[in-house]
Amino acid sequence: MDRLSRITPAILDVLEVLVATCEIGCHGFAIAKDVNRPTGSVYPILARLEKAGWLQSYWESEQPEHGRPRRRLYSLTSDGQLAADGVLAERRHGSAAILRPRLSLGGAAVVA
Amino acid sequence: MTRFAVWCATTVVLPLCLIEFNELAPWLARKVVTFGAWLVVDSNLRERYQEEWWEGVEAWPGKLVKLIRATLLVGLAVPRINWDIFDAWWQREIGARVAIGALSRSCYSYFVYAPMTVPFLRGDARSGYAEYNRLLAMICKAIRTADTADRIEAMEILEALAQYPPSWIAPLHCNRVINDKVLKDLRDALQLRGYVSPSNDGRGVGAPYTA
Repeated sequence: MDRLSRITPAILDVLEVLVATCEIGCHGFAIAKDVNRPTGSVYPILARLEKAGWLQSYWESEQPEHGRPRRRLYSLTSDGQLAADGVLAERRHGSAAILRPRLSLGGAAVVA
Repeated sequence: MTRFAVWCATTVVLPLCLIEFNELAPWLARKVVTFGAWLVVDSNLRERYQEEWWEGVEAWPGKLVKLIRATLLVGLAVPRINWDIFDAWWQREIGARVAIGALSRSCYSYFVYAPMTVPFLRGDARSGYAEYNRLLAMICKAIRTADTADRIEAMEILEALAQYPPSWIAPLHCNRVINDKVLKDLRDALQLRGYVSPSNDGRGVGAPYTA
């Protein structure tokens, strides 16, 4: 599995959705809706993650409803899951942890 | 008479055209998606993207909305995907990350958008494009490995290429024959600087990143 050269906020958003739905897998349009970003931004991110080995994709096995095109489903690989957890912990939860003491300074003064 | 013509245009023709366009929009959206997928440099991915993207566009309600969504999707996704393909090719061939920050904006857009014109090119121009890519790879290698003076010179060549690309790169001139002079000048310049041995004529060094 390759390292990602650049991790943008959009990639973090997509990873968050994928971590939450990694069991079932979800399609590009649903991910774009969840992260509230245009599909034109999300599809290249999915392609990049798949190429780096973080994701696997497959066509849905169930017969789609009448007239609907097949969906390409994405889910994290086992390595991708670990890497995504690490990146999210570092970038999202890590930054929250750094911010929290700063924010609590004011609160601490009030409590005191 | 003129008033009647204007009245006809605004009350009959224009609404009819709008209705027709509205009916046509999903079909146009489909064409936009197909065309967008066709512009992806890696031909192995085109069919997949076509189906996948259409599913994303189809999910939207309305007719005109589908067309707008398809246009936005293609406009955003294709350059990014092509850039990633180019980036991977660059890393494989040059052995480093794209140092494109050192280059001008025109150079950046040249790398991203020029591959999209390849499907418009005639067969002979396509082979010219592959040759051009090989030469680009060599210039980029020179930028990375040569000494400072040569590196500056190689950068200048690359910048000049980005500003004055061969005429067959531009889609408007896609029917023109390859501008052999550009390739020859470039090859000569590289040979003079010892980047290309005359025996292999640049072939076998690097590979085109077009699929």
